[in-house]
Amino acid sequence: MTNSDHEHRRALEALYVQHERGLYNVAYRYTWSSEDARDVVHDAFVRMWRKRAAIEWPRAAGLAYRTVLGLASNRRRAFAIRRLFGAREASEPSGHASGADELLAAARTDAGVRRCIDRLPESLRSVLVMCAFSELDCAAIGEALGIPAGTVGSRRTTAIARIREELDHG
Amino acid sequence: MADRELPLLEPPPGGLAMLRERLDAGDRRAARIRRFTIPVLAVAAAAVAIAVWLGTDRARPTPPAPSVATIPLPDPSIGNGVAFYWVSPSEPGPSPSPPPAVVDISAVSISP
Repeated sequence: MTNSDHEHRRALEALYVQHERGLYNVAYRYTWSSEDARDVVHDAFVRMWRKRAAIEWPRAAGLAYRTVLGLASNRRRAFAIRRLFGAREASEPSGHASGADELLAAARTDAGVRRCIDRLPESLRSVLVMCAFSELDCAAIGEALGIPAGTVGSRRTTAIARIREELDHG
Repeated sequence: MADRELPLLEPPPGGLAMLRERLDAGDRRAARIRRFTIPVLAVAAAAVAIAVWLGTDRARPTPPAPSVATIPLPDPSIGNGVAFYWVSPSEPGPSPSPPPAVVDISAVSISP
């Protein structure tokens, strides 16, 4: 490994440590599986590592989120196709709660939120998930998604209103 | 709404170590591919060059049929009993015709 590679590796790992939780949560709201979410985040960083020479690391957070969103969306689509053909049952609940009651409550919350998020169109889902879980501001989210910052705000409001409506009526 | 309905989850522990393993494995694989690719490409290039050379050699035009000598052909234009060999890949032509008869005009008297 060259000196340049060492520098790239340090920068990539720093980015991972800084944004791991946000990226994981974004991926989780697409895949609804902790293993898949972690895989997606790792896949994104492996891709970034392959393109390390062209990456400006101080400004790479948006790229990381964009890559995670793309990969998570692909995995979600693949999962939907597999489920269509009955190759895989619905994924497991998050599994981060400890007791049985907590597990049940978490599973119910997961199921409700998942249903609401799953029904959103992709344009709203990506904005909502990014606003809720990424450590980026509206401008950075807009840059990562390729939309103006104002559009981020309006889509977030629309998404929340739809979810609120779903939860109230569902 | 986000705080209540979308709880922030903690990622599974050991993520960075797993990522390091994957990156190192990827680097090792890439290095192995590079190490094997160069000799394989060199061998393939040599094989292609040999094949092209063999193909070119076999496609070279065949040389003309060797010339052979025919039976001796008499050539009375040179002298009686003189013969020559027709050396050519083509069929031999006709023998040359004998020279015209020479008349000694000094012995001829012209009378007025």
